[in-house]
Amino acid sequence: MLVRLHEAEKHYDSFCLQCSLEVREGYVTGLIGPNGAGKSTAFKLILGLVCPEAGEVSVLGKTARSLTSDDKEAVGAVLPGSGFSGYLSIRDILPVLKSMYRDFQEEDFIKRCGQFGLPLDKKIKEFSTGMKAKLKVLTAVTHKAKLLVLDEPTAGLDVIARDQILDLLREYMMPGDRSVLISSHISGDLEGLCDDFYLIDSGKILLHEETDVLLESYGVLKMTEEQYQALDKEWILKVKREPYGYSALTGQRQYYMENYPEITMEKGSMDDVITMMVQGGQG
Amino acid sequence: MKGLLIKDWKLLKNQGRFYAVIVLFALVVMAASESGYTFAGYYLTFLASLFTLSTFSYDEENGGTGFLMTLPADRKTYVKEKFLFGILLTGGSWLVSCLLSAVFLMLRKPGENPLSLIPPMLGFLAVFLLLLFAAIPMILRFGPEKGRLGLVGMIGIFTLLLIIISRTAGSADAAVESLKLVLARYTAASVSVAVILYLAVIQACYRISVRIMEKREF
Repeated sequence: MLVRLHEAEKHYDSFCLQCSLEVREGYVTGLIGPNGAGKSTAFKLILGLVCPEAGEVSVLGKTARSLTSDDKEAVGAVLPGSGFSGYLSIRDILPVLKSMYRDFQEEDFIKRCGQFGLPLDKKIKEFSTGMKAKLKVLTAVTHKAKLLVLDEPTAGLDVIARDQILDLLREYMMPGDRSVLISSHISGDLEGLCDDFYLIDSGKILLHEETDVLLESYGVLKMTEEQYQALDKEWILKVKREPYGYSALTGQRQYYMENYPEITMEKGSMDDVITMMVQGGQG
Repeated sequence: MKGLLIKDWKLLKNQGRFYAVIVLFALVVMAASESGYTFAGYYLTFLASLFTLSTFSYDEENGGTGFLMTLPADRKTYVKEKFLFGILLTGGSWLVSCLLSAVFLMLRKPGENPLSLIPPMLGFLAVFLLLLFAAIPMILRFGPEKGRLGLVGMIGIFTLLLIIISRTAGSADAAVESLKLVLARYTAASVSVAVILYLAVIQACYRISVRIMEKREF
């Protein structure tokens, strides 16, 4: 287990994170949830930037706050809106990265900067949002890290830039023994990339599921009031009142398709799961 | 540590033009002044310590210090690097200042020994390094802006103390004379005590800075 949060707690004035999650070796794990759900706090706990008030946070088998510089070489991180000073250029940060990471692949880094259209001599503060995001991900992946912790790496990017970054992450995962923990507001990004995901809201994990299972077994039933009343609710996870009657999220799509063929069934997507799990009530 | 030092050096280099103007300004003031041989001494040394503090602002920009803490550099190393960078930069600027002052002295008063500049120049170095090291924990605790204000405040208090001491000294000649006598008799011991006290204060600043940094959340 590369990352383990066990009943980790962090309290702020009007917010409390109570969360357990794991990132397994060879897995891309997504953390999804609405704004203010606690995703960034969870990432900060993992990166040792904040201290848990209860529970346990371990990274690479050690307490997050006790990671040494050597340990940190095995971790690549992206934090939203933060990185190297904007007064530096890529050429300035090259020797910094070279002296910090023994496995920094300078040639590869420079080559990819060229591919991504990142000028080496321009100040980072003059970069566009997309260029800054690409630079952050490149910085995280080009030192053979075992674990990537990426908080909103694709935020504010256009489709092409997002695809470039997602392709880079897929390439990063090729060796098979690496792991990624990633958060994104764009569920489509995560659907195509993650092996499993955690849904978080108001500081609590609402759901943990394999992405394949979600796409194969989850579905949203759309039904009238009468159909809802007659429905077997055993496999219904959440229900939401709609103008036409009810919509309901299930993790047993096949069961309802076979037993209630008259009810409209939509294939589950991450967006549906987020919406229903956050806004829906108990079935 | 090396990576962080390179980062700060690159930041300094990128502000090179600004510092070149400052050095030029120091040269002009020294050339215009008849007796201001040591102007560059405190001016450049002070600016070097101020630049060390400004690297905190560059780091803090958009929460960048938190990002730096995700790199292979722990919190203690971050503090250590700032102290070392401060010593290297302030010390380096001080050496340049010494050279400038000596050159000006030799040009203006060829007969005078340039070594006579050493005591005041050493004094500037000691004071500005001390102010820098005292400001670092304040910056780490209260942020770059308030920390720098604190530094300016400390300089103000220090200046005020000097004024008070010099005025009081006039009205208490006997006490000053006897203090001078004691210092003259026990010069080595007095210097040793002063150096030990000075180093103890610096070490305390360092330890407090490390403690603040280790407790800090990003």
